[in-house]
Amino acid sequence: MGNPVMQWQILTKQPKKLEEFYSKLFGWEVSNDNPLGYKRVDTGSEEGIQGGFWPIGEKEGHSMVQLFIRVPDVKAHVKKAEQLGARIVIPPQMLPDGDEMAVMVDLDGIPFAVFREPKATR
Amino acid sequence: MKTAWSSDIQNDVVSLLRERLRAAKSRNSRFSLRAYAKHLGVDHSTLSQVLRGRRGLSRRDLETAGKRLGLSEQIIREHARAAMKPAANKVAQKQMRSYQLDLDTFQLLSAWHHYAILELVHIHGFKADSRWIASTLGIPVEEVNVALQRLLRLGLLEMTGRDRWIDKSGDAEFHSASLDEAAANELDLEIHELAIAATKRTRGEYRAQRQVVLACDSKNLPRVRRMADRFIAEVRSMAAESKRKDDVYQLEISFFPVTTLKGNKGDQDG
Repeated sequence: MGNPVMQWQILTKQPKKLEEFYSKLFGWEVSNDNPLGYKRVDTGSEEGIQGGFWPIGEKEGHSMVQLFIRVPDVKAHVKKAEQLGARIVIPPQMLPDGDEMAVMVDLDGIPFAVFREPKATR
Repeated sequence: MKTAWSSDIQNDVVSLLRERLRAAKSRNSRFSLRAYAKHLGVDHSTLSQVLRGRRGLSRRDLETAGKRLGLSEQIIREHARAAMKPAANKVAQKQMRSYQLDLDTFQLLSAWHHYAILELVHIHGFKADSRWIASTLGIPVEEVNVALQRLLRLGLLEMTGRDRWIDKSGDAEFHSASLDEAAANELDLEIHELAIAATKRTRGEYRAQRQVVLACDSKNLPRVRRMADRFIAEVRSMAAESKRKDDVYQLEISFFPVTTLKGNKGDQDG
């Protein structure tokens, strides 16, 4: 069971450029056919984890990589993280694809997300 | 319903005080709180507590500082009224808690589509889908997603289900005095461009545009502003009563000289 890292996400000011760059470099396939128009990456391998690109504004910090950790209870983990000193960036949300997700910043200023997939799709 | 500069008036004033102080410090790192208080005409220890959220401004301090900050008399009156009724405003204050935005954030949100997204949530037929929002507003999906992230981060939007998003921004006003003139002008131009695009794109029966050119005493400008405020309030009230909302509209009122006689930028007397 545990709380595995299930996904990486590149926060970028140039999503199209990076999509092209990584696709050419590694042969990754990128699809945005989902309600948020989220650029999902299929690395083409059963090993490792999959990821995605998410756009950020020009004046909103640096581009970076963010990890997504799957948890059984998002709200409980947000509360626990907060007690341990994390800062909540985006409180728990029910995304259009059914995932519940929250974004926080750890003690060293690194953002990370916790999420729970919809039970029906398990 | 909200303008590009909507928020809670009380937070507005305190945010504005903080923003102006920060701006002054960025121009002159030796600029002190004491000098700022003197400029505003309020006691420096009082100002210190206000900036830290420990207390509110008295009516007299608000009037003195508000004028120095360039707030309109209406905003000052509303703030004073709100300050006199703390219990009655508890709910509103709770709802508006997330509106204490610094100027940078505020300016990020000033682009029209943030507010359009929040208003779209209210209409019949809304789809919790970035692609639908992008297509409806005529902007790229990436721009929608950047805006969504900002709105979620600021607590102005909440996603509660596959098809249910909630506009948490409330319905209050944030005065444009918190913007410097350049930023306010940029916003004005953006809204004018929207109006031009709508004129080209939308059939006449789906929009309302009225114009008149007239000679007028320029001293009437404050009165025109008050009349515009009243008209906007009336339209907001009408929209609030709409049982079935099916579109999002921009209301813009402009009253400006068509001549070069007054107020040209660069003129000493403005």
